[in-house]
Amino acid sequence: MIGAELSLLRREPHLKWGALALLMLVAIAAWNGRMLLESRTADATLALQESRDTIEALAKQAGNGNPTATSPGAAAFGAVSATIVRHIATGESLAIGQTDLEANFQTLTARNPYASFAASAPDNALRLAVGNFDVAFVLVWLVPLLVIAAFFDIVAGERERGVLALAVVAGAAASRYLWTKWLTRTLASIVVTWLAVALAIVVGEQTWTGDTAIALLAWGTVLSAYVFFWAALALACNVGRGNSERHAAVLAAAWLTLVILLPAAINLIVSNVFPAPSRVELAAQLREATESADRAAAKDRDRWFFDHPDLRSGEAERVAYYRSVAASERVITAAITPQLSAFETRAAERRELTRRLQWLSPAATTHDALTVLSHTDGASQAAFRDAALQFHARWQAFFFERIDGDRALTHEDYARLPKFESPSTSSLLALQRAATNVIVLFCIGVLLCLYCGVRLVRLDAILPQEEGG
Amino acid sequence: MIEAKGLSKSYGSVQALHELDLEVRAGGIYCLLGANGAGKTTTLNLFLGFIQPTSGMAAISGVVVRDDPVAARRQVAYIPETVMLYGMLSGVENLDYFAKLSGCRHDQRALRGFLQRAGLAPAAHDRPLKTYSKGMRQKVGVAIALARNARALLLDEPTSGLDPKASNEFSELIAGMARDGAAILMATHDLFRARETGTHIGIMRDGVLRAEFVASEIDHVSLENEYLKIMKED
Repeated sequence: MIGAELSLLRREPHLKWGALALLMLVAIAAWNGRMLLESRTADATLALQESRDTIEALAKQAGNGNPTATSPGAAAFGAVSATIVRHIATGESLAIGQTDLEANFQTLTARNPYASFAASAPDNALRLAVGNFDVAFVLVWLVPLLVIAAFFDIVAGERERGVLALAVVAGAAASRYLWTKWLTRTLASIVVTWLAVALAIVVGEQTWTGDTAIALLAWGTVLSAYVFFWAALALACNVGRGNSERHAAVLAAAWLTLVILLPAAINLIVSNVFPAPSRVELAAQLREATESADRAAAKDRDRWFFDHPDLRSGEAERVAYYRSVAASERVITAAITPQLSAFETRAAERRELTRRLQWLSPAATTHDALTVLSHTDGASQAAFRDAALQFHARWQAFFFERIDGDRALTHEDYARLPKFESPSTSSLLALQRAATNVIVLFCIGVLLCLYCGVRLVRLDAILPQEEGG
Repeated sequence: MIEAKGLSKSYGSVQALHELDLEVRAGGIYCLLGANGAGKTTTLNLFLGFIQPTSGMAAISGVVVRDDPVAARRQVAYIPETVMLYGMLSGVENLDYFAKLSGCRHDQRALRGFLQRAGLAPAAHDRPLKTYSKGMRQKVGVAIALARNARALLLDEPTSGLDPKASNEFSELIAGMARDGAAILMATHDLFRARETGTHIGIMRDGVLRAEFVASEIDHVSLENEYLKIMKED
């Protein structure tokens, strides 16, 4: 029976072409993701190399007593910068997630943190306008359509073709016959989905590690649960009254609702309950804080030189200038830290509400699991921003204590510059988080199957037939 | 053998079938005539176990359908008015599929043999069913019955929509199956074909079997007159 059903499936042109189209789109999306990451990696590598080259050159010059290299102020506010790069996790090319909102590297100086972060604002306005065509998007949107195409007439169509009656007369219990058909089609859809994930990894991933196999297994499991949910929903729709056209319309409406409308509604609710902090407002606050700090610093500097007119030129003035800049940057940092903190708090609130509301839409649940597995979810981005802030504080402290103490930078100091560690992308933690989503999808699928089981047992007792002459 | 005793079916206050007594022995072809809504399809559905009788008994080869519908269905082959099957599978693949569902395994040679016995030319065996005419699809239905070696055959207006030649071929096919020992119950509107093919003829109206004839004892004209008389009764 399973072999015969597979033979039937192979002959259905809309499924064959649908599966091929899905695989083709997945390959294009994976290639798109790979190209995006390659260009980002190349940009980051270039920036990182530039920073390292500068530091190396300055270290040599510091050994030779070059005043630009030995002056902590000159180095901190002009010559030296740190490029920090977010670690690209396995599978990131498959789920761009929110990475299109922020660059994957930042170049920091000892100035206030916002001065660095503002430079890493959306890196490609065009990409933001059209969104990223990634594998997660293709699979979350299109896999349900393939499942619907395979299942929309699984009961009604058999009845309409007169096949169910013939099958029952041939000795098969209607429920067993339909369950076998359903199971075969579900397994076939899952196999197509795994093939799609494998293809995406082959096309999208630049390097293969142990994590690649874990990514394949994890993505395959999440999408299998998604397929299972849609297959169960299609069967639940089919065991009700109505013909196959009606079931196709109901399932298309379900797709529209669960895949498009509900995620859009979730976005709308989150945006209204927790409006995103305005970057323009943040920039205005920063400008205000900067101007106020600059004014205060200038006032202090003028007073200092008023008290020490004999130090008004040469090295002493330069030291005083850098101290005042450092003081000014401290004030600005202190002034904008609450704003940046509010920004992060709001982002965390939005993530939490989104995570709660995502259970309304299996598509949102699946997409969340896929971005979590690829470390491109909002939390991973926040972890990078947090690590960047902490690193910035260490970087600033490194230079400021030398500026304040008027300690010249040495060759060895350059070797002691703080090093950035990208936040860990633990596969285990991601798997734990994604597992909840898989379990929820699976449980809903099981509940739908139980409902179908009850309806199909009734079909065994009396096979509905149209009453004729 | 196909047998009904006091078989009745009601839908609320509507009596779809009333106290039907009927018997088709091995080798017999019983043709049920009647207008739309006379109770012919209800009768077949009761024998197939698709619906439950309100009272009475339907049995196939001694197995009471209500008591063990699965066992009863094992004895019977069914050909509906329109045999749709799977359009993208060929005749031989459809036959293989349904034979396997019945638990019968036949090799390709045997399957093609059944199709040939059912009157389907070998050139058509491997063509997709969606390219078949209705007559050709009915022949695949007969081939399924042959592959299952069914001892009873239930036919629901199988010649409806067939051209005279195809209708004649189909009648010869089922006559051949009856000669091989099958009991056949056929619901039809075709008086001529019922008289030509059947061994017994029953005329139904409003769920009641109004008249029964031995086919060889009545000519076409008399059968038509009897039929019209029953249909015109108040």
